Amino acid sequence: MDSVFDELYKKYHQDVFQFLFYMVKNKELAEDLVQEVYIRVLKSYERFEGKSSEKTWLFSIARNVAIDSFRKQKGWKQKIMEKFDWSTQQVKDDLPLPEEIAVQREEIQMIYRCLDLCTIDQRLVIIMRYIHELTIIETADSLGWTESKVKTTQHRALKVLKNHMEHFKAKEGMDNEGIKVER
Amino acid sequence: MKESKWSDEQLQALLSQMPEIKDNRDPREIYQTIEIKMGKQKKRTWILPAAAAAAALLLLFILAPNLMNWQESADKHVEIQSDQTQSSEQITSDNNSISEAKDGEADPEPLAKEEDPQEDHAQLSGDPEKESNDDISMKSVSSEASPTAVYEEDLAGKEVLTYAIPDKEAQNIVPVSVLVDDDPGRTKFALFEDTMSKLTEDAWGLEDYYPLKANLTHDQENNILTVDVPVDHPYSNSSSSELLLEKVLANIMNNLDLEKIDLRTEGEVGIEFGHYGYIDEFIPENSTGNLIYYFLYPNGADSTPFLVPLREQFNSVKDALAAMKKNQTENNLQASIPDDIDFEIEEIKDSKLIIRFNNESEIIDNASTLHAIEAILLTAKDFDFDTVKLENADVDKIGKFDLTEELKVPVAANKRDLPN
Repeated sequence: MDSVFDELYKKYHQDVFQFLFYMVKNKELAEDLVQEVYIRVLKSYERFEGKSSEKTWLFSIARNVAIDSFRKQKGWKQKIMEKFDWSTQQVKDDLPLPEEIAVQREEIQMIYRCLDLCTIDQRLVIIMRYIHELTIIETADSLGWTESKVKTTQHRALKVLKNHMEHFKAKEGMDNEGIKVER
Repeated sequence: MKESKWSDEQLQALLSQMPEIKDNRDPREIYQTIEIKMGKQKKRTWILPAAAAAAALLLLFILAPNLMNWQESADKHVEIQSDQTQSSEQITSDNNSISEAKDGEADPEPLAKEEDPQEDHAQLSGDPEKESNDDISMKSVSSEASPTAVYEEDLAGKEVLTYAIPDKEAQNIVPVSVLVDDDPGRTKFALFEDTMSKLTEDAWGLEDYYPLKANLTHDQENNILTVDVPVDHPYSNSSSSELLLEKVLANIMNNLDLEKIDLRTEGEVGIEFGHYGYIDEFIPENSTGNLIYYFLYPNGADSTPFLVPLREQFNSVKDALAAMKKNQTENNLQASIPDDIDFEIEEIKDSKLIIRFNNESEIIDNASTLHAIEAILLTAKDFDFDTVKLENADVDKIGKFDLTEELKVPVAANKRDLPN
């Protein structure tokens, strides 16, 4: 087996896979995408100059792969989206919750769903900063952004999440109350 | 239900508790998939287009020469076809009175007593197929352009015999002249008949036509030639072979100054032709117009050309010379005067033609200019000029021609040598 692949696999495979999974929320797709990341990495490994750390370099490639995959999907995804009425701000739930998430407590499930409501940029920052616990500098490096852009995006993302979490809670509370009344 | 207010910290804590998601596949499995994908991608990105390009280049390489010749051979094909279907119209452009242009040889004038051996050598070197044949002498000879026609000075003690030989495509009749030692004890017909078997038509790039598959007898008293063919003679195989025989007989008739040609089949009077029907004596077509000469290259464009006459109607020698600048593609003949040579016919008096080249024309001493001049001389001869003066050339001498002098028209076209 290729020594470069071996090394990268040991150091970063699960990180990259998890990042891709939270981006696309689909295990099979993430499996395909992580392979695409390796292909791009192996093709351009000689060009890796060490300006950035290996880790942020890999994350930047993973991010490009994820965005490319969104572009590819857009065609059929939009067709599906047209069937939904988005004016009610319904949380999209077209994919079943993966096992790992389904066994978690309600709040985790909720925030997992709310990730969909962020823009792609916001989601990138949330996943990198809070799930993978990259520093602001590392995130900026991976995304090719300035640190201040990371900070602003991160701030807005948290705000979006907060709003939707509350909206969600309130709705759920109402549902519960409704049930109580019936009883 | 309590009002829930989320702080940034709470959200961050919640996010950090998100479960780890693992890829449970074996790394070797992943690596194999990647390898396959990378191989495929490589193939897809360049191997296939490269292979296609290589194949296309190869095809182009194979087809290009054929494509270039295609038009030409298609023309030839059509020409042969029309030759077979057409009958006497074709004769307008025929060559059956080539020998009219060669009246001089019937009574050769032994003006130049000395034979120029240098000339003979130069003649040899002009013949590429000769070169390959034999003759050590030519190796020492310079590549200076040599004339193709027979001139007065070649005639010392020689008899000129002109044979009408069809080219390989049976499109043109080429008048080829050979020089044989004159023998006062023998008639010209006897020399003609003897020499027939010595012709090397194949080596000249022409059709192997001689000796004729017939018994020839010459009645000297009445000057009548009797052509006696065997029953299985090849001359009525197709209309084109009949047409060729007709042209060849007309040439022989003119060449040997015959009164009449009688036709026989194994002693019986007349020949039964498939298309012409039964003919017992040959009567040449009356032809009008003048012979103008074009180039024929049976051995490729860099060999010495044959000068082939076509009969056409012209108002003046000027028109005739202008026509010689145009390729005769339907006959596979090339223009004998380059398109970039322009001239004016300056003066015509006392059977002398003066041609004045324009300043832009490039008249230099090379083989193609020499052959162009010979074509002009031969055409001038058919218009009954004796001499031609070329003026305003860039050089004084082209091959054997001294342009400061008047040039005498040739005795016959296309001199070729016989094997010893």
